[in-house]
Amino acid sequence: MSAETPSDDAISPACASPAPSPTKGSRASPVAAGAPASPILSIERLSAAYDGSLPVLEDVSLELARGELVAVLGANGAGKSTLLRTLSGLLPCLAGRIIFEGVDITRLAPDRRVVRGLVQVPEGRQMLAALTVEENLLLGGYVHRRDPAGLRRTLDEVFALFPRLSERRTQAAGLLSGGEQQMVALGRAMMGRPRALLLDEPSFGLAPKVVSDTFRVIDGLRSSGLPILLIEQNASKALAVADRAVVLRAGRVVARGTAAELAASEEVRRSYLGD
Amino acid sequence: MAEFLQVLFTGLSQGGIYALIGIGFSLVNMSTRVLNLAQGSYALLGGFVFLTLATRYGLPLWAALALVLVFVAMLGVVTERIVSLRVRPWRPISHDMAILTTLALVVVAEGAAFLIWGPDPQRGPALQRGVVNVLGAILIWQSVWMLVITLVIAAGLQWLLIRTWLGRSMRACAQNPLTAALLGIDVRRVGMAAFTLSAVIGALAGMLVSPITWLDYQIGGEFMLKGVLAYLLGGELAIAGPLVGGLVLGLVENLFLLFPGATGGLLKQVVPMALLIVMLVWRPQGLLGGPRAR
Ligand SMILES: Nc1ncnc2c1ncn2[C@@H]1O[C@H](COP(=O)(O)OP(=O)(O)OP(=O)(O)O)[C@@H](O)[C@H]1O
Ligand SMILES: [Mg+2]
Repeated sequence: MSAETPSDDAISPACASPAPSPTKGSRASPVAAGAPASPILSIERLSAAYDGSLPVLEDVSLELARGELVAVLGANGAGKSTLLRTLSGLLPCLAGRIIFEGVDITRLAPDRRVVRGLVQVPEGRQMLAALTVEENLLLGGYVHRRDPAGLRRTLDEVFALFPRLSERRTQAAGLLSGGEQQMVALGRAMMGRPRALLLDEPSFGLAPKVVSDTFRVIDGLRSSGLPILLIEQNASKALAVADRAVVLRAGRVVARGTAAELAASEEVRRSYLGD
Repeated sequence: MAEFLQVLFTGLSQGGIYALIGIGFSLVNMSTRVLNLAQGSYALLGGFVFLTLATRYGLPLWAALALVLVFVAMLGVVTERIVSLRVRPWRPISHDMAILTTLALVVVAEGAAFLIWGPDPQRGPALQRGVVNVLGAILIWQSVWMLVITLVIAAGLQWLLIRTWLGRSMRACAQNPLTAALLGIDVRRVGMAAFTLSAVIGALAGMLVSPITWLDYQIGGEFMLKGVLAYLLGGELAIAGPLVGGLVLGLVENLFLLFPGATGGLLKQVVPMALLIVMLVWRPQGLLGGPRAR
């Protein structure tokens, strides 16, 4: 693993060049800490702030390769959710670029990013509580609303993945259990037909058994070739499924490497794995 | 019997107007969680512009109607812009600021109406003049149309909310604007659509009612109060709530007019407000409210 200080967080030229090779399905095996072959998403020296506040993200660089699962670890307030908000376009960037599938999306409106396939499952599941399970899922496919037949098909796939949701399709989403809400949140994201998935603390507030189920689903999605950027506080679970990981502290990347390297790292163990 | 029927029908048609204003409140609230007190002012301004165009400038009714609708749609957009000018995905709308702003707009609209149209009540043209006799009760054609149009609008909006993507996205924005944005919904556009739609409905109410009750510059505030009452009485169901609330309110008010002399008029003023307090304390989900999922 490479420990970094802000000043030497230079981007290697290989990942700065937005040259997507259309080698789909070639699941990048755990790549060495260096540059993954063909990043679907590359974040270049990103900085962001809430109005007038000091920068919450500073000079963050990160690549997500096709078929790869990268974990972002960090304590409360490190800026993990802010990173995802910036990637989804809810918060403007102060500096830096976001390249998705070879296209610069730094200034794109949030809905245009969803159309392109960059889909986020936000922190805390965020049910549309008074709407039914089915309405929640359908709204996940909002950007594909001109293709009702396709939406129906995707909905059937989601119900096949989560049969429980099928049973509860007419129930208000706010009345579901935490685990079921997590299924709705994941299913809703699948309805957007993501080409890359951003997950913000999917394990938060769930019972251990449900956390394991959730990680099984995440692992399954990754195995099907979907690139995933996973935010987690549960570092051991995250490192168990991740190919690579970065650690954020106070808005900066302070460590990065393969999951195995980080899991073995003294500092990460001390700060995030609780030993 | 005939007298009772008369009161019943008058109550229902008047209640229909309250319902329209209440539905306007509901549409904006269910999309943005803002209580837009200027809802009655769209009825005031729409009604006055309509009667001016139609009577003073002699425009055909359809042309006057079209111009008024464009005019109030712009008012709706302006209200939305003022209320959520500083809203960003990470900085949610301030409901206190919004409600006070719309209250200020009520006063501004009232002042403008006074300056332009003066202190005297005025009436607009009716869709159909004359009366019809039903089982001994005399019904004004205009109020028959008022009730019919109210029901048609309510049915149309119900369809919009449940069956269309605009309706679904409105409900999503009300529940959780941040999530709605993450799903690819343009939250700002949805808010504008809701304000525009509610302004148009408010103006329709003003135009419909003006031949019967006349309009004066203060009527925006009165409409607002009746609309809020209808909205709160009816409860959580976005369209059916204010519809039933408005009709009940109209009926209750007019039933008190059966009392002789000043008593009836006084009761008509006081009882609905007392009813509101009772509802807010003991049945805050409204007449039609069900179990909550929040
Ligand atoms: N809407 C906001 N307005 C202003 N500042 C904010 C806002 N949201 C977050 N912040 C600030 O940005 C910093 C990073 O917050 P963020 O939510 O990204 O942290 P996080 O790493 O996701 O933490 P957690 O693990 O608790 O979710 C914090 O200092 C926080 O106070
Ligand atoms: Mg967070």
